Amino acid sequence: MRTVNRSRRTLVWCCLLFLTGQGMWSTVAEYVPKLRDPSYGDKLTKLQRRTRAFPDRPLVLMLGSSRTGYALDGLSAEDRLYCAHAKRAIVFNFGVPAAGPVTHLLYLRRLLGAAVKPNLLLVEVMPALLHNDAGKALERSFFVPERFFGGEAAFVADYGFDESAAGRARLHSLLLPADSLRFPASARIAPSWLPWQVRYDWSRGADACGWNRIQHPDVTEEQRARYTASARSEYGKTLGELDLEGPALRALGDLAALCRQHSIPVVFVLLPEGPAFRSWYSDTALLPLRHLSSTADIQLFDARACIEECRFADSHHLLPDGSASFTRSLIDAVVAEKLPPESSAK
Amino acid sequence: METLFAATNGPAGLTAEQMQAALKAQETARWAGEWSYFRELHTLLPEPFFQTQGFLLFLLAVGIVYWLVPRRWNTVRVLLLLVASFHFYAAWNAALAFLVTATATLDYFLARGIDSAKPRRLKLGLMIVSIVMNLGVLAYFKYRGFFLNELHNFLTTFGGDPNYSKLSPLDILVPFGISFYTFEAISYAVDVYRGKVKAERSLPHFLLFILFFPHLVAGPIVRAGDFLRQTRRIKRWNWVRMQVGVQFFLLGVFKKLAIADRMALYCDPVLANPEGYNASAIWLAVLAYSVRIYADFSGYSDMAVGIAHLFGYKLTINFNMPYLSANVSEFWKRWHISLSTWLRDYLYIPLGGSRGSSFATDRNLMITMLLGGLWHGATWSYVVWGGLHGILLVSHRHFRRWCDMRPRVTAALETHVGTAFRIASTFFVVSLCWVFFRPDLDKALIILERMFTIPQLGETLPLHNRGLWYTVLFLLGCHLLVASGLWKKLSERLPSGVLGFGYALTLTTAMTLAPQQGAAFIYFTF
Repeated sequence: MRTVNRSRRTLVWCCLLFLTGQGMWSTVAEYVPKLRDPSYGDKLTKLQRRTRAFPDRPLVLMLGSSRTGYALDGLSAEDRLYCAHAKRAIVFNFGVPAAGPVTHLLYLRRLLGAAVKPNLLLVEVMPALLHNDAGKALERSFFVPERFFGGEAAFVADYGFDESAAGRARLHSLLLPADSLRFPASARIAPSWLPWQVRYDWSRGADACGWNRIQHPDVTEEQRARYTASARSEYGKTLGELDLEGPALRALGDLAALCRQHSIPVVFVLLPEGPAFRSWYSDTALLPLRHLSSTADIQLFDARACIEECRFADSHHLLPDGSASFTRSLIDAVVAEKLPPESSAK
Repeated sequence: METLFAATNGPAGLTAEQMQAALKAQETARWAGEWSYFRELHTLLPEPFFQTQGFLLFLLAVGIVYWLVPRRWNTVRVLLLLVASFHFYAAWNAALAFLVTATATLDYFLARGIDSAKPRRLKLGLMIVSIVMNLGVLAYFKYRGFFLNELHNFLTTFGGDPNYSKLSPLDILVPFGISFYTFEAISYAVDVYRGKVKAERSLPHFLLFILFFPHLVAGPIVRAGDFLRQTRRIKRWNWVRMQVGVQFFLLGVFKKLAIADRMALYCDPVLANPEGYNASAIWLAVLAYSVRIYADFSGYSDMAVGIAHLFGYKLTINFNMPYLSANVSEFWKRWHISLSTWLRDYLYIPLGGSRGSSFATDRNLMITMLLGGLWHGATWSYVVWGGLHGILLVSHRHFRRWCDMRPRVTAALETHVGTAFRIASTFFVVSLCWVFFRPDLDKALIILERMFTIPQLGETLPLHNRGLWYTVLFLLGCHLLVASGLWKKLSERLPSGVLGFGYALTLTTAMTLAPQQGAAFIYFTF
C-alpha cells in the first residue's frame, strides 16, 4: 500500500511541478522581454543601461533591420556629434534582423510603453520590406509569432499578419513555454549548443550603443560575389516587382502619426546600398515613399549611393569601414541639424 | 502538424532533401484516392511518432476510454486497443493498415490450420505458406527496389537490356515497421508449428498481438507466447505500474529529443557530405552518430515499453546499456535484445547454431549477421555492416578460445583496467561499424578513408563540440550510476516529491533541448 501511495504521489507531484514550471516560465517571459523576444529584449536592456548611465543626454534612436544593426556605430556617432558639432547625445542603434515597418511600429509602441521616448527617431526604410505582398506586409513571413506580447497579434493583423496563427502561437507559448520559448532560453544558457538559425542572440553581441560589428570584415571578392548572389536570391524577385502601395507603407505612415502624437521628430533613412543591389529595382518604384515623406512632412535621408561596393559584405550589409563613413554622414547631414539644443532636450 | 517538441521528418535512410521530397510525393499520391475519413485522420495524427502532440492527445483519449471500461469487459478493452492501433497506423497510411490487418488475419487462420492439422506435412506446408506470405510482402515492399536495381546494374554491366529504369528511393513506399511485424508473424507460425504456443482462438486478441500500437512500427519484436497471455489477463488500474510506464516514457522522450535529435545536428551534415569536412570533424561525427543511434532506438523502445505499461501490458526490454559491453558477443546480448534473440532462435539455431564443427559455427554466425544486416536495410552498406559484425563475432569466438588456454591473459583482461580497455575497444569497433549503418556505401568508404588518412582540410563540426562532449559525459555518468546499482537504491529511497520533481525536470529539459527540426526515428524504416 505504501508503494502504491508513493507512486501516486510521485505522479501527482510530477504533473503539479511540470505545470507550475510552465506557468512560472510563461509568467516570467511576459515581464522579461529577453525570454520572449530576445532580439528586442537585449537591445532594450542595452538602451536602458545607456540611458541610465547618461540620464541628461538626449536620445537619438534608430529603428531598423540587420542593415541598420551593422551600419550605425553609435559610439563613434556620439564622438562625432560632440567633436564636430559640440552636441552630446546617446545615439542608439536598435537594428533587429528582418525588422520592417510593422516591426518598427510595434517596437516603438513597446519602447514608449517602457518609458523610452527618443528625442530624435531615425527609421530605416528598406524598399524590399515595404513591398505589398498580395495585400500583406512582407515581413510577416520573417516574424516569429511567439515573440508577440498580449494584444500584439490583433494589432499586427491590420497589416496582413495572420492573427489566428499568431494567436495560436501565443497561446502555445503561454501553455508550453518549454516548447515554444526554448530557443531564447537555451541561447542564454548554452548558445554554442544551438544552430545559428535559432540562437536569437544577435542583439546580445551588439556594443553598448547597439552596433553589431560584422565579425569577419575581411571579405574576399569571391566571398562578396557569393554573398551578393545570396542577397539577390533573397530580394531580387521582390525588388524586381516592387510595389509600395500596401500595408507596410501604411505601417510607416502610422509610425509617423504615432511620433507626431508623442512629439517625436522623425527621419526616414534609406540606407547605403551597393551599385549591384540598387540595380535590382528602379528608382521610380520609391515614389509612394517619397509621397508619404512629403505629405507627412518627414525628411527622407537617401544615403543609398554614398558608399562604394567594396565596403559592403553583400551589397547591402556594411562592413566596419563602410559603417564609419555612413555614421559620419548621417550625423553631419541629419542628426546634428535635427537634434534639439542640449538645454531643451534636458 | 507540429510536434510537441519539434517537427519530425519521414523515414530515415535518405538524405534530408530526398526524404522531404519522397514524403511529399508519397503523401500527395497516397491521399489522392483515400477516403475523406482517413484524410481527416491523417490531419489529426500525421506521423506515427510518439513524441508528437497529436500522438499524446491520441494516447490520452485512448487511455481515458480504456480505463473507464469496466475491467470485466476485457474483450471490449482488447477491441478498443485494436481499433485504436488500426487508426494509429491508418492515420499514416490507410491502405497499408488494411494490408497489415489482412496479412495478420491470414496468419491467424494459417496458425489455426497448423494447430488443428493432423498430418505433419500439412502442418509444415501451412507454416511454409505463412512464412512465404510474410517474407513475400516484406520482399515486395522493402527489397524489390534493391533487387531490381542490382539486376539492372548486372544486366547493363554485361551489355544486356534490362528494359526498365532503375527505381529511386522516392518510388518505393516502405510500410513503417514492416520488418518488425513480419518477424512477429513468422515467429508465431513457427512457434505454433513447434507446439511451443497454442494457436490463438480469438481473432481480436491475435490482431492486437500484431497491431498493438506501442510496438507496431519499431518493435520491440514481441513473442506470441509472451503477449497473447497478457491479452487474456484482466487488467486493474495500478499506480505502481503507471509510475513505471511514465518513467519509461519520460526516459525515452529524453533520450530521443535531448540526446538523439541533438546528436543529429552534429553528425548528419558531416556524414551526408564527408568530403567537405576535416578528419577531426568526421571522428567526432562518428562518435555523435554512435550516441545518436543508441539514444534514438533505445529511446523509442523505452517509450514503447512505457506506453504498453500504461495499458497494463509488458513488452520486452530491448536495450541493456550496450556500450558498456566488454566484447562484441556481449554487445549483441545487450543491443536490440528482441532482434538478437529472434535471430538466435529462428535463424542461428535452426542453421545448426554452435553444435557442429568450428567452421560450421562460424558459417552460421556469418549467415545470421549478414541476414541481420540485410534486415535493417535494403542496401549493400547494411549487408557490409552485418558482415563486419559477423567477422567480429567470429574473431571474438576464436580469441576467447585462445584466451582460455592462457589463464594469465584472461586474468589480465578481467582486471578493472583490462575490463575498461575491453569496453573501450568494443565501443571503438562498434562505432566504426556504425559508419556502414547508413544507406550510402560510397559515403561510408569516404568517411573511413578520411578518418584514417593524413589530416585533411575541410570544415569543422557544424556546432561547437562542447555540447557533444557534455552529452557523452552525461551518458557515461548515467550508465555508471545505473550499472553501480546506485540509481536503484536512490529511486527506492527518494521521497515522492523529489522523484516527481525529477520527472517534471526530465520532461522540461527534453522539451527545451529538442532541436528545431527533429529527426525521424532511425529504426522506423527497418
